[in-house]
Parts: sequence; C-alpha cells; structure tokens
Amino acid sequence: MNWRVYLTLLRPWHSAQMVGLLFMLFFGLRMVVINLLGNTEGNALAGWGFVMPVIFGFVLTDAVRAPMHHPFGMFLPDLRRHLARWHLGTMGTLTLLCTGMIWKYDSALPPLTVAGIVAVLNLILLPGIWQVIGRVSQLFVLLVLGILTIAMVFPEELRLSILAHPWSIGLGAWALAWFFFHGVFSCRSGKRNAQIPYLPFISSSISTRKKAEKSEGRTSSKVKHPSPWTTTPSDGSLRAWLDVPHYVLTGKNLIGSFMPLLRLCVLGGLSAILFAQNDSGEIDRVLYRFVWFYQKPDNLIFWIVILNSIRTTGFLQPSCVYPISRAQQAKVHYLNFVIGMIVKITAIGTTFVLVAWFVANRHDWPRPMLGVVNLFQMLAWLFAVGSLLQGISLRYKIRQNTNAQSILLVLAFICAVIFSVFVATHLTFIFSLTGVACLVVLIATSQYVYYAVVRRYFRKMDFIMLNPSRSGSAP
Amino acid sequence: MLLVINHHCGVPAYRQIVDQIRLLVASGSLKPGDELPSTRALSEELSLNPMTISKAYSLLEHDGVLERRRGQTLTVKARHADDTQASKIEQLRRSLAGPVGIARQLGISPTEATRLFREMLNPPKP
Amino acid sequence: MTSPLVTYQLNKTFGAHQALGALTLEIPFGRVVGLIGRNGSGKTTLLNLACGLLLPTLGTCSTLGRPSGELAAPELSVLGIVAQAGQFINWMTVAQQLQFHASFYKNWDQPREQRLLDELDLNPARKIDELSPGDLQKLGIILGVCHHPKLLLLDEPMSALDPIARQSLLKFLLDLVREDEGTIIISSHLLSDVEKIIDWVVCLDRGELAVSAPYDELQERYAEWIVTPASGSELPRKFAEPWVLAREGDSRRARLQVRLPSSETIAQFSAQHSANVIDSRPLNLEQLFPLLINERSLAQ
Repeated sequence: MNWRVYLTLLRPWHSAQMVGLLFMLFFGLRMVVINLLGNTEGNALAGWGFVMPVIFGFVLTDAVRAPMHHPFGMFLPDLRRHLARWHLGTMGTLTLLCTGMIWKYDSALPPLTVAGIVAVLNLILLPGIWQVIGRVSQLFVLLVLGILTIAMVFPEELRLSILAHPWSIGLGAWALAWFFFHGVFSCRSGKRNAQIPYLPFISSSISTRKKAEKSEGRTSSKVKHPSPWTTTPSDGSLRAWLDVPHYVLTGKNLIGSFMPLLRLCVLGGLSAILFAQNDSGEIDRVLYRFVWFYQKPDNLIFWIVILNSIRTTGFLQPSCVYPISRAQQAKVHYLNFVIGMIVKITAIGTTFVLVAWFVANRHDWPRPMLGVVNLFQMLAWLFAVGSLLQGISLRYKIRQNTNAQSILLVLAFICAVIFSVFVATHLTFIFSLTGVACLVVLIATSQYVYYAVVRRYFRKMDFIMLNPSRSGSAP
Repeated sequence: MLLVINHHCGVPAYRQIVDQIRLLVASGSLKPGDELPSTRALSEELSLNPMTISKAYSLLEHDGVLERRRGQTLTVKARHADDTQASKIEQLRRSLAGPVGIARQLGISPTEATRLFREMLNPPKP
Repeated sequence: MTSPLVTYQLNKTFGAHQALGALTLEIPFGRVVGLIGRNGSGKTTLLNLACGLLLPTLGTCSTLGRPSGELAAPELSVLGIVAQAGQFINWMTVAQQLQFHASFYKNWDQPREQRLLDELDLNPARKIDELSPGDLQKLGIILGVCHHPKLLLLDEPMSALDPIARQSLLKFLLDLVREDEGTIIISSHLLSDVEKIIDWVVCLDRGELAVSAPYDELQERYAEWIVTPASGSELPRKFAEPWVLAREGDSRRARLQVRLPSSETIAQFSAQHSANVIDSRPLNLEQLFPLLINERSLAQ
C-alpha cells in the first residue's frame, strides 16, 4: 500500500471540510463557555491537547474505517499491517505536532504525559468504528464529548491535575492508547467482527433472512409508534413522569438501562446549567398546572396516543397517499417533517423544564442562569437550525443511515444552544417585541428555505435508484 | 484447423476433437507428417480448456493416429493401408449411428434404407 | 501439485439449520470446476468457508494447503475472489478502487487490468455508487483476477452481465487458465454458459456432495434413449431397473434417461421388456443436472 492510496483514503477535500466544521463547532462552544463561566483564559492544553487530537483522530479514523469495514479487508494480503503502519505514521506525526504546540505555549507541562493524552484522544474513536455494534460507537462518541466538555469547562483544573500526577496519567494514557490501537488492528478482532454478517457472497435465502433479522434487531432500537403502557398504572411521582414517556418513546425502561440513563444525565446536566433558577417561581407555576391537569403520566400517554392517531389518520387522506403528483409529495413530506420537528421540540422542551425544576428545587444553585424564557428561544433556534440542516442533507444527498437523523438533531441542538446563549447574553433587546419578531423571521426563513429544498428535490429526483440497497432509503 | 465444437449436444468436447481429427486424417486433409497445432494454440482457437485438448491428443497418440516427434510437436502418423481402411470404416460406422436410429424410429425397413443409401451414394445421372 | 481446496467431513451449521453436512471433497489442481446445485444446497457456504469467512463447525477445510481459517498473506496474494454482491468503497471511483487493491499485491498485472477494462467496457472514471449492477459485477471480476491468482473463486459472476459481456468473460477465464495455470471454481446457474469452459463438476444437494467428477466422464456416463416396443407389445409404464432415471412418453414410444450400463445389461433390458433402443443421445449439463440430484436422493 503506497502513499498515493493512503492519500486517496484520507479524502483530503472531504476531510478538510469536516475538520473545518468541527473546529468551528468547538470554537463556538468554547465562546459560549467563556461567556457563561467568565474565565477568559483558554489554554493550550485544552485546545491542542484535547480538541485538536479528537478532530484529527476523527478524520484519520474515517480513512481507516472504509477498508477495515468491508469484507474484502479479510482478503487483501496484509491489509491490517499496512493500514496500521500508515495510521501509526500519521498519528505519530500529529501527536508530535500537537505536543509541540503545547510545548511552545506552555512548557511547564511534561511532554511525555501530554503526548500520551494526545495519542489516546487520537485513537479514542477507533474502537467505535465497528458500527455493526452500534451501541459501542455511540458510547465512545458520548465519552469523547464528556471529556471535551470537562476540558473546556475546567481547563485550569485539568492542567493542575496533570502537573500533579504526570507519571500515573502519562502511563495510563499510553497504556490505553496501545490497548485501543492493538485491539483494533489485530487480526483476531478483524475476524471476529467480520463474521457478523457481511458475507461477500450472497447467501442462500435462509442466511439472508437471518442476516436481515440480525440487522433489523440491531438498528430498530427505536420503536416507531408509541406502544400502549400496559403494565400497572403509575403514580404521580417524578420517577414515573420520567419513566413512562421514555418507555413509550423508546420501548425501554429508563431506570435500569445504561444508555438512556447516560443520555438523561447529559440532558439533565445541560438543562441544569442553562435553565435552573433559584427562585423557580415561573417554572413552579407552569409545572403545577401541568401536573395537576394530568395527575399521572398515564393520562399524558393517553393523549399522546390519541394525537398520534389523529396525525396518522390525517396523513391517510387521499390527497396524501399515492399516487400523487410530485408537488403534492413535496407538501406532504414537508408537513410530515414539520409535525415531527414540533413533536421532538416539544418533547425536548418538556424534558428540560421538568429536569430543571427538579434540580432547582433540590439544590441551591448559586448562579442565576438564563431562565425559562430563553428555553423558548433555544427551541426556536433548534427548529430553525434543524430544518436548515435537514435541508442541507437533502440537497447534498447525504446518505441516510439509521444514525443520521439523531446525529443531525444533536448537531442542531448544539448549534441552537450556542446561538441562543450567545444571543441571550449579548443582545438585550431579545426580550422585547423586536426580539420576538426576529425569532419569528428566523423560523419563517428557515422554513421557507427548507420547503424550497424539498420542492426542488421532489421535482428533480429520480424515483428509482440504481442501487437501492447501497445508498440507503430515500428520505 | 477446421474443427467445430458444439458445447450443447452433450458429446464431450475431447471426443468431438478426437472424432474430427480422425476424420481429417482418414479423409486425407491431414497427411502423414503434418504438424498439429500445440495444445495452447488449439485451446485458444477453440475456446476450450487446455486439459481437454491434451486429453484428446493423448487419446489419439495412444490409438496411433498421432505421434510425438522431434520433442514436443505432434504429427500425423503414417499408417499401414489396412489400418487406414479399418479406421475409415470405423468413422463411417460411427457417423451412421444417427441415421440408423432415425430409420428405426421411422420404421423404415433395412432393405428400403439400404436402397436409399445406395441411391444417395451414386446419384442418378441427369 | 497440492490440491487447492480440500475438505474432510466438513460440517457447517447455522443455529438449527445445517448448511453443509460431512462434506468430503478434493478439488484437483488446474481444473475449471463448475460448482452446481439448487438454491440452498450450500454452494455459497462452501465458498465462504473456503476463503475463511466462515469457520467449520466440524471437520476441516484447507485452501491452498492451509486451514482456511488461518489464511495469511502468502496464500491471500494468490487467492482471487469474485463475489456476487461486491462490497466496494462507494465514494471511490473505479480507478481509485483498482489502485487501492493493486497496492496490496506485488504481482498486480496492470496490462491485464487495462485489457479487462476495455474488453468489459467499464469506464474507470465513474464513481462506484453510480454503477449499474452489471458494471459492479464487472468491477468485482477485475478486482479478483488481476493478481494472477492460483485459485479463483467465482460466485455467480455472470448473473447480471449481458450476453456479449458474458462471452467476453468466458473467453477471458479460459485465457486465465492458460496463462496463470491455476484452478477456477465457478458457481453459476447459467449451466449452458458454464458448460463451455468447465472440465470438472461438483454438484451439491442439500448440503451434501452429490457428484464430484470430470465433466467428460459425466457426459459419457449418461444418455437419453428412444425406446419402442417390439411389434405387438406395449412398453411398461415404469421400468424397474435402477439405472433408468427418468421416463417420458406413452406405451408406444418412450424417452428414457439412463445411466449407461454394460452391453449385456442392455441386451437383457431389451429382452425383458421386448423393447428396442432405437436411438441413444448424450445429455448436456442442463439435462444432466436434475439427474445428478435425483440419483443421490434415490441412492439414500
């Protein structure tokens, strides 16, 4: 394998775009944190020691993912050895680069330890490349986000702890790095992972069915329609309020399973930082009315089910069902999207309010944050940015796999948080009529753009794809 | 060499080659001493597996139709006149198997069939 | 020469379903082997086992002299695989994908690659995710053969090709046999195409071996007879001899498919049934196929 082939794998233009996008995202997030927490000093460690390695690691991992993922990776002689060598080479160079930058700005930090941390973060996404085990890759992404958040929010503490225990941290980091690298590039792991059904020869009907069953079981972790809550009726406790909707939406219990709990913690943490208030007078009022009306989560579910049925029935009208014209299809698609977005946003908003209220009532939160009004602002941004991102993915035919939707939502969410916080802390007119008008304009523009994209798409797209199995389903 | 192989008639390819070469030798198109194309060349010409060709060649060598001279090249072997005659008769017999089968199917009597055969061999003068 | 593929009591079970059962097989060197069988008979499983993607549940499978689960770089560089649904890196162009594969083999034949691109009419500048299934198959073929494999495994390589491309491929496979002096195992349902090039037949039926024999031998083993009764009698509805495999027709004229017995047995047959065999014709692969399958189930 030569340098030309590796360069092709790296996809320079595509990777540059990704790096740029990610960099801007983190930079923006950094601005938010600086604003919120008041510490104006970034430090080289957080930037070059944490963020850049992860970004670079993401790009390098992507390059390696493609050949390792495919079954022909089992047949090309010494594929793993070559890939490992090249990966090691580029990773080593980047590690040196990042460590050098840190050394330049902050020579007090021990370079070996820092290099170890850089190496680990470079490799941290690598074990997650086996997307056949979807949970694992999600887990690692969340892990990375957590680490990065800590690095950006508490850079000084991080720096101090590294200075305090250079050897243990360094050794641990290098050990982990080796562990990741070896685990991914060794032959045994390759065989183990490739045997999960990616057989190059088309199997007979029996194994094809088994293959379909297996992959179906993996990807349909989300239940599409809310299932009725059939067990014992719940009470009005907070736990019930959290548990029941979660079960309905995802088909799994909130308490007792790992991933949703993690998600909840992330959401909870964010909402606490942003919206919890000491005197939660307004939240209390809203919530009290909310809880009083429904009494128990079961009733809420009941209403959700009814509303969903209404929506489904609405979409069964002849004007929405095939055969219809392309323009009409565009309208239906757009309507479906908007309703879906509204539902998601309502769900997110509700969760935030609930958790914020829970946290605010239980702790003395010293710093007043933004308040519930900004929640609505954030939701408006989420709506607008979400539509725009969806439009972009439609326009540039980003291949839809089962994770793409959630990734887009997360991305929109991050952007929405950044924008809304920035706007709230810098533009005081946001609470006036002008501010509301701006928000309305924002939403209207985003919807117009998205609708235009959808119309164009339906007008121009070919309904039959040459290789439907290859590029995933049509949106 | 003008050999034609029919892949779908069920007769093995090597057998078709053997029969056709026998015919060419017996009819004089291939004279004693003529060189035959190499296995590779013939397999390329006929779009066949070289092993098939070599099987045919070795069978013909074994039967004494071909011989290996000057190292690798295969040539037609000169044969005794009686042998040639015998092999000619054998060729004809084999190719008559088809018409005989048809005659039987049609229920044509041997006398009738022989008369027809004679007529076709010596067509009446116009 | 070591046999390129040897199995011994090879068994592969997926949960409750047994795909291959006690398969003992030795593929001779330098042959073009046609791997035939009904759907679900285990052909694909066998090919997957041979290249090491699956591990045997019981028994052994050796490819190019090594257990198939331990194939390493020396064997892999002379093993060629053409799969039915090729998995490629979709964002690459054809040329980039070829370049990618070429970088792993020391003996990648660039002129051969160019020749195939021309003969199969594939444009190297096109992106892979814009190719039709036929073009994808062509790409799969090129990727599998340019490094002069000693063992080439093909699974339904022609199913999506148009007739002209098929002829090109068949002709090319024969060139390959001549040039590389390797073994080819080709699994295909297009028997009329495949019989033009094969010289060994391996037939699987429900996970077990029905036949493994030279194609010539099979062609000479079976025949189709036209049988008429001697005057005044009728043909029996069923012929009890075990070597009579199929019967068509009525009491005055029957077409039988037989496994050719000795001439004394034929004489006995004519005498016993007062029948005359008036014609005997050989069978091609398409006609042989059901006989091979049925014979095995009859033998059990």
